[in-house]
Amino acid sequence: MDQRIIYQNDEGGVAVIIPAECGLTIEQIAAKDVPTGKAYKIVDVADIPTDRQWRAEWTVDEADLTDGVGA
Amino acid sequence: MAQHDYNIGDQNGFDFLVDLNNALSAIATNNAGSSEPNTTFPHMLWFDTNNDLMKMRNQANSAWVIVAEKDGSGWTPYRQGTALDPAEDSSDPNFTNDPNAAARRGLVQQKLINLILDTIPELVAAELHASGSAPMYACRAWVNFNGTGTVAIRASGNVSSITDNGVGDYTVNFTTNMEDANYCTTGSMVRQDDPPNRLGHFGVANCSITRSSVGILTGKSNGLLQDAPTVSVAIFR
Repeated sequence: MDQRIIYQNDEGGVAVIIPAECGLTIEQIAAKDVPTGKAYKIVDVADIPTDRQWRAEWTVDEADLTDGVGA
Repeated sequence: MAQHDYNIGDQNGFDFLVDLNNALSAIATNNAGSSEPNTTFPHMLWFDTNNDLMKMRNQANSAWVIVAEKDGSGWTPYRQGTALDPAEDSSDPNFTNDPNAAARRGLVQQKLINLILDTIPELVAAELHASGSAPMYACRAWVNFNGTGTVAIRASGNVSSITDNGVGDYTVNFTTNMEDANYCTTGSMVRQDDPPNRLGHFGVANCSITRSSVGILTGKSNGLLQDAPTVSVAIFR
């Protein structure tokens, strides 16, 4: 899949979910694998930085996480 | 052994009692006797004591039909005038002439199922090249992924996704949950940095083992977390 699911982790950083080809839609994977109560957004893979040198400093505005909430 | 014409005539009380008891005795013994009953009826049974044959009168009451033969070990059923031996009856493999075809097919099917069930473990072991008699336990989930750059799954089984939590910190999420969290997590990682051929660390994150996911850490030999270009994880239960 060329999409990723992002949500804010408990430390204020960003967790990125990489979907597998498992027969589920990305929406189903988001509902299942995003922690309960966490807001998430589905983004293109190109929107995720590839330089991970400052991975711990990645942030996301919670107001942008508008696609759903982990079940 | 008794036979009776099944006609209770007009007679005094004692004779009536004797006649009635003779009729009941004939019924109870299936009209057993060395010769056929004098009076016959459609579908009447007669056990021929001379030949040890159980016979039944046909519907037209015109002839006797052998239904079974008594021998030392029990009864041999007859079909269309011939003794039936299920073990040797290969002339009618589909039992098309057998009035009990459905029951016999069911028996054969059950024997076939039992044979298959007995054979499956051996076939599976052979297919997996598993020698010896030790039991086998299956891998319930697995994934191979690139943990660097654009983190991506190369291949997987029963894994819905992985979560990139940070440098060297991943979560493997199962498509179908494990029955409990007491499974075995195994795996490996390929270290990415120079110098080459240095050992890396693959571990399971503390308090991260649940029925639905397991946390994986990869790092340098000094314990610092580090992304790995190849991370392989397999779950056994």
